[in-house]
Amino acid sequence: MPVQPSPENSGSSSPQGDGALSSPGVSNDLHEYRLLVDHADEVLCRLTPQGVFVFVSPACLNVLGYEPAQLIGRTKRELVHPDDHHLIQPVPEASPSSSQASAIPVSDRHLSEYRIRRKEGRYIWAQVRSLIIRDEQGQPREKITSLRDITEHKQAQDNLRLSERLGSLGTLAAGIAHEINNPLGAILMAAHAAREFNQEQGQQAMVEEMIDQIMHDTRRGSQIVRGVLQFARQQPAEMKTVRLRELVLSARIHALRYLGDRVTGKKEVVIKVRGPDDSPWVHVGPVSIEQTLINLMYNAVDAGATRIQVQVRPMADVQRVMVQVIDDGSGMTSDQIAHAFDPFYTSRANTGNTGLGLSTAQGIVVAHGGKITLTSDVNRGTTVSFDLPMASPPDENESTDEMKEKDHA
Amino acid sequence: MPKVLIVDDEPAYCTLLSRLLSRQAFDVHVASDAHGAISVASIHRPDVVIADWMLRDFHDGLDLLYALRQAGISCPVIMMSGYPSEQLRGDASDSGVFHFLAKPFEPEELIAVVKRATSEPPMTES
Repeated sequence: MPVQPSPENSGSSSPQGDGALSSPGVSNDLHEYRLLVDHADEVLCRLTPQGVFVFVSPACLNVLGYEPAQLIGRTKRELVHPDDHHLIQPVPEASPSSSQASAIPVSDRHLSEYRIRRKEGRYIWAQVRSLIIRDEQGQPREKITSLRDITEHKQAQDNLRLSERLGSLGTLAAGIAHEINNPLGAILMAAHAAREFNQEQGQQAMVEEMIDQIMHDTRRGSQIVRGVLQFARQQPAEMKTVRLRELVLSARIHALRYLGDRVTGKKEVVIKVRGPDDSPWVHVGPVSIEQTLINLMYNAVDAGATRIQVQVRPMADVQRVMVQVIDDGSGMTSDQIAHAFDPFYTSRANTGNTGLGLSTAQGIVVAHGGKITLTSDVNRGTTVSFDLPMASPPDENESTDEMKEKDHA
Repeated sequence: MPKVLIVDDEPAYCTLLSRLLSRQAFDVHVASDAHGAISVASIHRPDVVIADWMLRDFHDGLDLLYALRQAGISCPVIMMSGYPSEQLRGDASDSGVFHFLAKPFEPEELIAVVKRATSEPPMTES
């Protein structure tokens, strides 16, 4: 249906029907359109393709503090916060890339959020939608923009994020409190008993036993604190290029020592490392990754594994190295699997296990841009897999610490 | 001698509490999980149960309390926890826990509570 010219039209600069869409129920009476524009809460604008204001709806007084006339001839860009300039829609291409004249190029539509300065100088957060209008030849003619103030919404989002973080901090604090209060309680009882025994004849052995208990639980408390600190410190301090094999072998030594320290459980565990002869280099925080491997091996030992296999598989196409720690221990139930990575979750509360091992490992792996997964079968064993960034070997010209040591040997 | 049942999944607590209370002339039994606690309690009929709120095999202390009651064990139940919030204390006392002890507790306090629990007349089922 062709657009009917109306009295309001004469002498105005608004386009008369160029590219105008007519839809059922919407009048072509420009007066009615004008009502919508004048009373919308959003600031509706027309700009040149270069971003110069040609028309600004009355809402701008409320939202931006400017009278419409004060913005005509100025660019939107000059109102945008300098740090947010990269978020403004770029100047459109001269002709559309699409061969179909009726299709709107994707880049002609833009949705963004950035800061805009009000007349008195205060910045607001604005959600801005823009659309490039092209003529029949596909040349950009103008830009239509709607702008709404989302400052309050953004504030609410930030508050929500903060309260989520505090919430999880609260949960963590509760977990820590619980974990540390337990050994403290044992220490207090042991000290109380030691004092009583000390006042009796012939009870030296009991006094000794109580002192042992105190030392054991003090160490346990300290272990828990260490575990919590590791958990908090998931971001690796210093990244180095190292051979993955070195980290695995070092973790293996720790695991075998741990096995020797344990009072109960199997005494014999075989830890095998499988991978390419030429061990891949990885760019990681070495202490963090070693810690991750240690945590996984400890878990395997605690699960009663007789064989632990560490498999290293380079994935050249994505420049990452896959590591798998596979054990033949008691495995995990589906409930345990579901909670495996939860902080403080442990099925072994009385072996000094802090329940932070997997949670910390996950944080570390994620900090290295990787993913960690766990599969398990009760009585068959558990496999934990994660990936690390592959690195190219350091320059032969650079002497590594290893080589320096050899020179001084 | 009054009978006490101690339930904690930490062996150290079981040992220490046992020693503490047997020196106070209590006949002590121990269990390391909720299921064990229910069977020991059914056999030995303790005069008081002292249990950790968070046992591995049970959701929380309230579940344990209900399970004990369901098994016909009507003696006072004292709960201990490493993380006692006001909420927890409230829930616990509302549901009939005799006393709630925060770990680490003073051994004297535990002794006093256990003595009180075993000297008061037995609880009647409501």
